[in-house]
Amino acid sequence: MSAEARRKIGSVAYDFCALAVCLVFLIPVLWAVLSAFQPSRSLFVFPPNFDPRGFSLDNFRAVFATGDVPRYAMNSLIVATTSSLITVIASSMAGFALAKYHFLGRQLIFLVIISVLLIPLQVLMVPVFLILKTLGWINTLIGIIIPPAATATGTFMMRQYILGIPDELLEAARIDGASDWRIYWRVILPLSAPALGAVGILSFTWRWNDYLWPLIVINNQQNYTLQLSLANLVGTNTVEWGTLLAYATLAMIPVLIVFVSFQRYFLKGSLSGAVKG
Amino acid sequence: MASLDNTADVSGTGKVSLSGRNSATPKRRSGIQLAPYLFLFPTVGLLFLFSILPMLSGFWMSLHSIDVIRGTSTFTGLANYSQLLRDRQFGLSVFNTAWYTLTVVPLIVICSIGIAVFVRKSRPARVLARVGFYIPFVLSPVVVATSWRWLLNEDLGVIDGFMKWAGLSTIPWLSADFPARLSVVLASVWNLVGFYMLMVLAGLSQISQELYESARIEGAAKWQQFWHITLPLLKPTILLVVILATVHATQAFETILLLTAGGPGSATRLVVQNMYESAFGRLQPGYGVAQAVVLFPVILFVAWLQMRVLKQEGVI
Repeated sequence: MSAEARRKIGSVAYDFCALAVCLVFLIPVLWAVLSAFQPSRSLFVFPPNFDPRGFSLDNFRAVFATGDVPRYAMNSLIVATTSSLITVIASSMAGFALAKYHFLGRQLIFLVIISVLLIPLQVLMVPVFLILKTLGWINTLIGIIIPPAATATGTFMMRQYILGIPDELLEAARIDGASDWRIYWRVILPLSAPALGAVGILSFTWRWNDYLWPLIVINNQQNYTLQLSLANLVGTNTVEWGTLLAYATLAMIPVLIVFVSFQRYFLKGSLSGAVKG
Repeated sequence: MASLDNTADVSGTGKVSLSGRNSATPKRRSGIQLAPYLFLFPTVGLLFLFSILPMLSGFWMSLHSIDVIRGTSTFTGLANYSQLLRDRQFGLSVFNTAWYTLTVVPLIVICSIGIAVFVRKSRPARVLARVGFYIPFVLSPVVVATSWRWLLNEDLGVIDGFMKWAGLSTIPWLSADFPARLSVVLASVWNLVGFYMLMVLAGLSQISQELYESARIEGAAKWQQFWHITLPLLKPTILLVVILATVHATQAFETILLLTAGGPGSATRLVVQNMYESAFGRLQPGYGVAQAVVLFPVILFVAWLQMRVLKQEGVI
């Protein structure tokens, strides 16, 4: 065997090795999904059944008997889309102001926004609850949409991106007589599409996955999000494992689709240290 | 702060900011311009209402005894804080949080470097790892906890199933003190490591291949290259990973609450859960916030470190 061929085999073997490591790493979630498709008689059997002919959708049907699941899914979707839309608009406007204007207090405002990132959630939970109560937003979807909509991370990412848009373009628009708002709407927004995408997708994922806010704010069933209703079922011991796992599988599908289709945006997000939603 | 305008590009586009220090900006040159303030208003307003104001009122609340039902509050000075000193449950949760942080953070650092170094050698492996290892990070805490409860389930779970099948004795993963602590740490590391691995991969790609080239010519072994080239040049990234992971760990709450509910007993009860239950379960919001305030200096210190590193890296 030539050295060339040996190296090729070596590199293929190495890639397979990486694939194997990845699969082993993903066992907790793969196993949950696999179990969701098992009929109850083969759920607790070891060695497990990998034969698709033995799969069943009973567990998924059972999910819809636990409550008004389509409604919870709708709530989650409303919360995630409106909240991330507000995030995208608000943070691109703020990012534009911080990147392209010189004005009194700019550095101070920027520092304040950045330091909000560092306020621990723990300190905020109780006071925010009381503020929401004053506003009458307890038990409403608005109460989970608005409070997390302005994010320091989003503002920071937008500012960084807009800094890279050439000033000449803005000057040209201004000479043509465009107003500040028009420059934002017609020049900044179209040119910062990649960053808008990154911020929007990250915040959609955060809001879809949110558990803490809904837990604090919502306590009547009709305003439950998917995550909240699943969490409440896990707490009780009355629901079968197969049903729980099918529910978890359904709840993870949207974020997985978003993640796989927009993977490069997540990469950008983590490079700018976007940890917190 | 002179570095404000010379911001390094972290959006990954490779473009360098054209807006230098004396950049021409869209502005009317006379009078106060209103536009930037209006553009900032939604973000600053929301952050003020839901982050800054609550933080300030948190300090105020921790000095009061609040009756949630009647909506009254009485000034009690430092009573909440002196109650903390006598609260053994709180002491235990501080210990648990420290234990959790001091195991999760090093494990994340080691694993993220290990995985990144392992997968970086070939393109297919890198692409695969970027998707595969990141998936747990995009899953919700509820889904993560459900999957792990199923995996670690006593009697019914697949790990115990395998142990029985192999004739070994089973482990009470979630119902004995030490195994539960370990399970919580494992699940958290699993959840977070992909995010940090991406950061390490980005850091590794900054290291010049020529360094390794010349080390090879000098006859340096693989581990020597790792020890003398990779690790030292990766130091800024590692520092950032340590800081962010510490912030992550001290704020961990949701996954653990759903995985063990702080049990068995109080073995995996962290400070955040303790304060959540004081405030919302036992209706003592002032006491709950006081627990958070006590931890504030620690978090502030980590935050200060983070700012310093980010500034050094030229990010802000």
